[in-house]
Amino acid sequence: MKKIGITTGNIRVGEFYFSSLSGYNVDAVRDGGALPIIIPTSAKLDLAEVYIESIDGLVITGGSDISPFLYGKDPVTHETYDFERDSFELALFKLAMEKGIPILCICRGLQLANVARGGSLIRDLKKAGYDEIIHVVEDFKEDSANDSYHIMEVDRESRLYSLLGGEVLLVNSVHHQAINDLGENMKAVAWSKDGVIEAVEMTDYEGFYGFQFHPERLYQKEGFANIYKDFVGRA
Amino acid sequence: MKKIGILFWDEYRHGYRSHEMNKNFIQAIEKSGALPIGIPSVMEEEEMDRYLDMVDVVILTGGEDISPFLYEEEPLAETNELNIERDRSEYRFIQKAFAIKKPTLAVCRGMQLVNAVFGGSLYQDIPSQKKDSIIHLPKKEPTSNGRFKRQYHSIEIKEGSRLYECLGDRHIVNSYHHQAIKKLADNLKITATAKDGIIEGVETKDDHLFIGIQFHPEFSEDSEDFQKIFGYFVGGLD
Repeated sequence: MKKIGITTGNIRVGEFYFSSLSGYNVDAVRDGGALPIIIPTSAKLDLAEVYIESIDGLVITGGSDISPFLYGKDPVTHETYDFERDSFELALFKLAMEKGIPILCICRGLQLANVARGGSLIRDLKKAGYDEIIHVVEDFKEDSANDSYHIMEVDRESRLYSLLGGEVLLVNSVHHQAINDLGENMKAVAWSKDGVIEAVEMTDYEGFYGFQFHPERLYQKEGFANIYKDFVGRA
Repeated sequence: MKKIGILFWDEYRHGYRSHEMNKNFIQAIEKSGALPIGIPSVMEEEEMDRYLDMVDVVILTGGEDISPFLYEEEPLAETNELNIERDRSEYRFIQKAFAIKKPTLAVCRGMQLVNAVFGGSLYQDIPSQKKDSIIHLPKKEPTSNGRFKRQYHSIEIKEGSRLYECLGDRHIVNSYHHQAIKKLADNLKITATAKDGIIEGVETKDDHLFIGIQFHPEFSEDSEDFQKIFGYFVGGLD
C-alpha cells in the first residue's frame, strides 16, 4: 500500500499550538487506496528530507495565506501567515519534485507551488475587483459545514478533463486569494466564470495536481474520486 | 532516524472531523532525535499493521474518558464525554502493538486504555469514587487569558523500573485527569504512585519496552527531566 504524506496547519488553542488537519484529507487519501501519513509542520527543515524518503506521494493542504514576502511583497490586505509552515512546505515541495513523486496541492498548497515556481498571487479577490462570484463565505459560522459553490469550466485538452469527465462542474470555494501570474511551466486548466484559476497542471511534471477548490471534500462524488485514484496510482 | 508514530486525536471544527496534536508532543519527539509520524487515531483494521510496520515506537496520547463498557461498567453521572469510535480503534491497535511488542509510550488516557484492554478497570471519577484522594484535576477549565490551570503533586517511583531510570525515585509531576487505574491488568506492574495511592506509572511484567504514565511528559516546562522519557525510547532501542 502506497504511503501518502499529508501536510498540516498550526492552530492556536488557548496557550497551546496544535498540528491540525481536516479529516477530509485523510478520508480522501484512504478512499484513493493509500495509507495516510500525517506530517506535522516542523521548524526543523532537515526533517523534510526524511519525510520525503518515507512517502510515495505528497498532499499539500489548505490553510492560512502564503506570506507575501516570499514573492517580494508587503502585506496589503488582511492576511494570516505561518512562516514555519511556509518554509517547511516549500522544502517538502522541492524535495518531492526532485524525487519525482506525485504532488497534490489544494488551495493554499496550489498557491505555494505557484510561488515556489516564480508565480504571484491575487492578494484579495474582492479588492482586485472579483466581486460578481462569491469565492468565500464571509460570515462563515463555526457550526456550519456549508461551503459556497460556483461553476468551474475545464479545458478539454487537460488531464483533469479526462479524470472528471465533464467540462462544466460545480465546485466548492473557500479562498480569498488566487493565482495571478502563473509560475514556470504551470498551466491553468480550469476557471470559474470570472476567470479565477481553479486548477493547474505542470507541462514538465505529470504528477502535479493543483486545485484552488477543495477536492478532498468532494471525493465521494463521481469524477472527483478519480483525482485521488489517479494520484495514488501514480505514487 | 527512528520513527515515532503518534496517534492524533480527533476534534470537531467547522462541523467536521479534524486530526490534531499538541505541538509540545511533536517537539519532544523531534528533540529526542526521532521523526514524528502522525497517525489518525480512528483507523481501519488493515491500516494498523501498516502503521506498526512503518514506525519504531508508538505514542498513545490523552483525550476523552474511556468507555466504561470496556471494563463492564455503565457510565457514572461524573463521567465526561466518550469517544467510542476512537476507543474501538485504539483498543484494537493496542492489541496489535502489544502482540508484536512494539515499544510504546502511553500517556494518561493511553495508559488507562492499555489497562482496560488487558482486563483492568478504572476509577471513572476519582473525586466521587475515592474520597481520600488528593487533587488530580485542576478545578477550572482554562482561564480567560487562555492559560490552562495547573496542578502538580509528587509521585514515588519504584527502583528497577524504566521510569526510575528516567526520573529517579521521586518526582513532581503535573496532573490533568479525573479517571485512573483501579484494578490493574494482569500483564502490568505498578512503577509509580501518588501519595493517595493513585497509580501514576505502569510497565509490563515481561521485556516489552512499555511505559505508561498518568502525567503529561509533553509539557517540558514542568520538568526538564521529562525529555528523558522520550529519549529513553530512542536511545533504548539500539
